[in-house]
Amino acid sequence: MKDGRRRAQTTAKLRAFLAAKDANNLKSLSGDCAQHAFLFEDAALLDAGLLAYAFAKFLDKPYIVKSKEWREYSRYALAELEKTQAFFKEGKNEAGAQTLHALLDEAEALSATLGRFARSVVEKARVKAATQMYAHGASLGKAVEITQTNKKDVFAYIGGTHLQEQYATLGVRQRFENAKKLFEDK
Amino acid sequence: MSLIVCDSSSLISLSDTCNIDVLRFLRQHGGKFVIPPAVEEEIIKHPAQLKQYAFSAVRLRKLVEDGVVLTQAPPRLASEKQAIENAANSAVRVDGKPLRLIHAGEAECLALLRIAPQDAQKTLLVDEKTTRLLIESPKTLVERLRGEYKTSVEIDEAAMRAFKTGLEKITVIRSTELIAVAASLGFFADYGTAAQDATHTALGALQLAGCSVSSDELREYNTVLK
Repeated sequence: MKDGRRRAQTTAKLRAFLAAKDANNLKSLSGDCAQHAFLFEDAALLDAGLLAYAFAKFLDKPYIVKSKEWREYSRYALAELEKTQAFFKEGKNEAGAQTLHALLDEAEALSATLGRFARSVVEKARVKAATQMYAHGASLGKAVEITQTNKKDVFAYIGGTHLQEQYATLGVRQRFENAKKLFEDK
Repeated sequence: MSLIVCDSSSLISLSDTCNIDVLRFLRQHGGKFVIPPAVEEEIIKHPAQLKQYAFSAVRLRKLVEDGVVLTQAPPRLASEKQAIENAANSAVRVDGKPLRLIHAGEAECLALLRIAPQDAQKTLLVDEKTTRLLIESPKTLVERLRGEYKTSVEIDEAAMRAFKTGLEKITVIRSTELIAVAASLGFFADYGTAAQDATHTALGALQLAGCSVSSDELREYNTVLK
């Protein structure tokens, strides 16, 4: 699939799930976007995924959904996403990517204004996206580089998942013996 | 001589679990801990500018200042780093498309090991799983990725060979191995009868801090360290 088509389809889904206030599908879309952003090295897909996660988190909070600010922002976002989808369909990839990025900046500002979040919703989305990339093969450094977040935050998040259960290779005794040999000569 | 090149992932795990002094302890037991400039940037210079991470950066900087961890930047580092990054990032393909797996920091650690004298016992200390699997078992990495992508995931053998050149005899350890060995050498002796508890809870804390160690492996450590 061509990049523009993939982006247009993703934007269409993002818009449809936002219009339907469908937090579950938005969360699922954010995971798919992170995976595709890593695989196809596509920053616009990353932004779409970050937006999907941020929308889902906003929709989870009744006090946000009822607010005037969210109603205004979501109306604006739906219109902007329609424009973005058209940009991508027409091959205007830069314009589409810029619109998505601007929406993301505004979501971050909304999170700061409205949220009772200790950390910005968009920052949480970056950590989640980095973890998804780590699960899909990226090293910690690569995942953090792409998502522009912090290694400590991502590693701590990974520590709370079951990801570590999947990558055992050598036996523990062998590892221990190998390591012991390094510190034998005082 | 044993040379232990430290990736930032392990230093982060150790720092976040208040176990960073294990490096000081093991330095006294012959360990030579080295980092490349990219890791110094990641663990000291960059976090020093962020309020929530600045204290951790100060503690790690002290280790460098005290000579417990040495920063090394030999002349061929940049070119070897680039060669390793290029090879690693072409070595695994999803539907024919190369996955950009590793980053400059991890590549620079491997470059330091590749450049190190042949007679050195070369060890990589790394807690994140991708770099470890590329060295120890690329097939395991690919099998896991097939499960994630549910499509064709293949190794590019030529790129993998280029990646592995000069890295064949590397031993990989994680922060858990450092804690386990340090415990066996008396690192937790001050805890008296609670020393064993301290060891096992420290290992568990490393897993929660992100170290790629499974729960089965942690249970196995209960037996190994008896």
